Amino acid sequence: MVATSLNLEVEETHSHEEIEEGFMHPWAKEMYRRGTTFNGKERDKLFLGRGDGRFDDLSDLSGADSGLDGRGLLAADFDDDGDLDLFAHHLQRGRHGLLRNDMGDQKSFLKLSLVDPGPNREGVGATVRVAAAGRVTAQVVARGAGFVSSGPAELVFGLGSAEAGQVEVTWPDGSLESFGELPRGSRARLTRGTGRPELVPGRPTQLKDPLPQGLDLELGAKVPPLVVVDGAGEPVQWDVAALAAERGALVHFWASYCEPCVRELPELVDLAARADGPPVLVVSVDARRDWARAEALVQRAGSGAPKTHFVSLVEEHNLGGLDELVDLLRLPIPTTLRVDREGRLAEVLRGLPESP
Amino acid sequence: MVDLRRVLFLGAAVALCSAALVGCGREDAAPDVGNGAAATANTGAATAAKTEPTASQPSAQLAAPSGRGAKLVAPKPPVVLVREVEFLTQGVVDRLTALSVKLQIRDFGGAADWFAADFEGHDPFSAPFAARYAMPQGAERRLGQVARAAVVDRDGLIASLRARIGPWRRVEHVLLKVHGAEFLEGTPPSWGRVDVSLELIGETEDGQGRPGGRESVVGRMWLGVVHSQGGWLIRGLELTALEQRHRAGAMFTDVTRSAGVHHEGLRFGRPGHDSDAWQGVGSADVDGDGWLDVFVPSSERNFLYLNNGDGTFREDAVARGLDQPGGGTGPLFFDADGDGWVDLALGFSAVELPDRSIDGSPLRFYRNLGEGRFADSTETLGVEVVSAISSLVAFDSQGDGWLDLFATSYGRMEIERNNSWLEASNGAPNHLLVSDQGKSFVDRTREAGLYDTRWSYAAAAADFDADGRQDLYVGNNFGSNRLYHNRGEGRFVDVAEELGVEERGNTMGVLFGDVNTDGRLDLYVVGPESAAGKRVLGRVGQPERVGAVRELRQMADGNALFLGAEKGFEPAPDDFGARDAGWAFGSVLADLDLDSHADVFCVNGFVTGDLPEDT
Repeated sequence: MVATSLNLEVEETHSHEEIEEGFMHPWAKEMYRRGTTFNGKERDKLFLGRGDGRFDDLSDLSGADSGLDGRGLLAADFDDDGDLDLFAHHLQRGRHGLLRNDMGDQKSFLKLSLVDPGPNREGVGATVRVAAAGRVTAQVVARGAGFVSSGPAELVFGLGSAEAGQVEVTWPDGSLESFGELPRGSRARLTRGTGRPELVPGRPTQLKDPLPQGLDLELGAKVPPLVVVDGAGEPVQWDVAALAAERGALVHFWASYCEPCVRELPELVDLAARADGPPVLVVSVDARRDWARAEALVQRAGSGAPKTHFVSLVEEHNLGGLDELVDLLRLPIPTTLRVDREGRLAEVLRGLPESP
Repeated sequence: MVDLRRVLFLGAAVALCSAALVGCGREDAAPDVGNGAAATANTGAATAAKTEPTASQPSAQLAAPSGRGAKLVAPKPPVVLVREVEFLTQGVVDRLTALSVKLQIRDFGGAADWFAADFEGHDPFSAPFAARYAMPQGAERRLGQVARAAVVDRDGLIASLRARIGPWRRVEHVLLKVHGAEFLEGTPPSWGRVDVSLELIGETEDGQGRPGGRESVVGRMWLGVVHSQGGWLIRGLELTALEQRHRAGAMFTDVTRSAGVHHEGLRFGRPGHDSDAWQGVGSADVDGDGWLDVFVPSSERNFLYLNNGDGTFREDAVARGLDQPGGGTGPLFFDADGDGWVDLALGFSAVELPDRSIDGSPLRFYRNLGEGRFADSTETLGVEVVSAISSLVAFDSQGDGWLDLFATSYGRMEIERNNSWLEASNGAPNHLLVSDQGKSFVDRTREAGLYDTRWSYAAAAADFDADGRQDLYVGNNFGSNRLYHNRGEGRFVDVAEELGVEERGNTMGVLFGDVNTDGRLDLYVVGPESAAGKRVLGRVGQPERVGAVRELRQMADGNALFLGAEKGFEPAPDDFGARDAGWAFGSVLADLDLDSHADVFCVNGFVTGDLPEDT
């Protein structure tokens, strides 16, 4: 029992029955067995500081709001462009996550590394302060912080609109050393006892651009055979590479709820009816209740309309097929994939190609 | 009469495992794994029906006198027993989670089934917007004038939803989250009103087929719900707040695959991936080429991603001798011997069994021989650390210039569960390993005053009071945190309560930084936020910020901020803005947008299963 300040007695331990019921621990294994979600699908959070102890929640607009179950996290400038990228470790599914920071203007930063001639070479435990535009910001050189993670020892200070920052280091033993003023965009080593920053030339690059959204297959990779279903729910297998052998092929994903998709249906029908054009495979991602509507929309869009197919809901149908090609939950609708005559994924288009 | 003791206990349990209240007792069907979003939604609908508290209800309930309209009255008399309210609430939560999936895949026809045929209520998207407000990073927000929202029927609402998110390039996320609920007393349950937030996030289109940016619509509303045969139906909607936010582009881009660091691991709970060790990530320039590399321990094997300096990485753990054993946690790069190359310490969970044998692996240490060639030098630690290690921190605890190691230890649930929710004392002990000039380490935990068997998850070191000695903050689960003030000569004194930073709860992460640009170090403490926990505690009927309710509330409250002050710390106001981060684990405090103000990023989420229900 614990006596609280309300003078209530709070039962401290769980009973055996409660443990036997299986709701205590190990929670997650049991929940997973049941397929249960427990505080899952949570969006990762970005809070931008105002500099006065308050924050604005911009998670929804961040592009970094993954719903995976995050565990470890660190911030580091992996491409030396002066802003901090994020590396996350997830419990399952895509276990490693690398987020490129696309906010920085690549100018308003100071990137600082400490060098202590003694055994604590990285100056772990030092507090670095940068004064700019009348305010002072402090950061600690840490090895191990946050949760089960350790970020790098180098520090990145933002300067906002200030042109330069005054740099001061309190070494782990409390001794204070000023390193003077550094202009924005500086990368510098601060060696203890010198009082002078040693500028390091930058080698800015950029973490490599991602695949088009919703795509799981590298551009240039062979497109696997796909299984879709027809309006009656019967599976249809497409050997996309064979279909593309003569004139290439297009795989068009659309949905009947998507207004831009519906607007371009006549154009789609035209394209598919052309004898000299590539074969067009039309896949709707509609829910089953809307299949008939989707088919009717296509048929009404013109004569010689191609057959509409639908995403198969049977996992076995697409092991290594559709799942390998696209991530349906992330795929913008409409999307068209252009397959070249070698059966390789050549291009990803938003909507239909302008000239087939 | 509410049994307060029971309620408080339940509150604690809920804050930690709200499924405990009602969810885990029910017999869910085995997950019906389908392919594609529609399959998930179908599974959800089926399961939602199965998990209804009552098997069948007369359809006459649809004609219940309330829960309809754009002005929803509270049910009188309401169900008062907290456990019963939460049980009913959970049924609504499950239904709304399944509806979220329907909306995410834009199955508008299907979504109509969640509404009563005689639905009448506000159309949230008809509320006109007032002026635009600028937000950081070029984002803008507009507030809806909820009083001017139109009243519509079911078809009108569905048509409005279709018009609002149908044209989006992509619906990224839909969430209907329940914050509170009231139900009419009676058996079987008939109707109630539920306080719900709605979140729609997606990518817009500019009208010419080009991306139009990120958009989110966030609303708060009362939903009137009636109980029917197929589950709870929405019969009324009273909009109480609406906000729309937009930014021309995303601030971060996921480059996991293109940069070469993608790894699709085992699903949690499968054989080979069922440990409670949470692993984590470490970064340093291990090979001296000036580029930051990354080490990620994992259940099956470890990964060492060497930075190619061109925006990509190559994985090289096998050649560097770091791929095995898997299952490690809290990777820590630090230069232990002062040779200019960062070494690596890696925690593991190990326990001594009654027969004195060791189950699991003790702490490991890999020496960097230069240029990122690592050698297992665990024996040079000079001490075998048998503990359930979670996180590792390097700091100079003795003031002798050498970096010492602090290992936080959790516990082994499968062997012994926490003996309290409020101040558990039966975790594995933390360890302070003091460096003997980088050659070996000596365990000085007890001499330093750092011996503790709370369930520790994380720690951070800094000289918070600028006295020239490195202090240590330790975050614990099922209990209060500790702030160890370094008094010199390797001795520490716990000052957490004295300085008001004990933050009882379930701390996951700990960070020192400066969030208010005053040059002083502040303390950011990361812990889970539980909507279910807050719902339950909100019903207890006691002042929320005193005594036991305050302590329990901290457990469900999320993250805390303590601002460095002249003497110690001052707690930040409740609404400081970076509190609710979900079930948060890893976090960073860094200036991500380079505006000279520290920002926060948190990863979160406990376990996502195949069924759509959630707490």
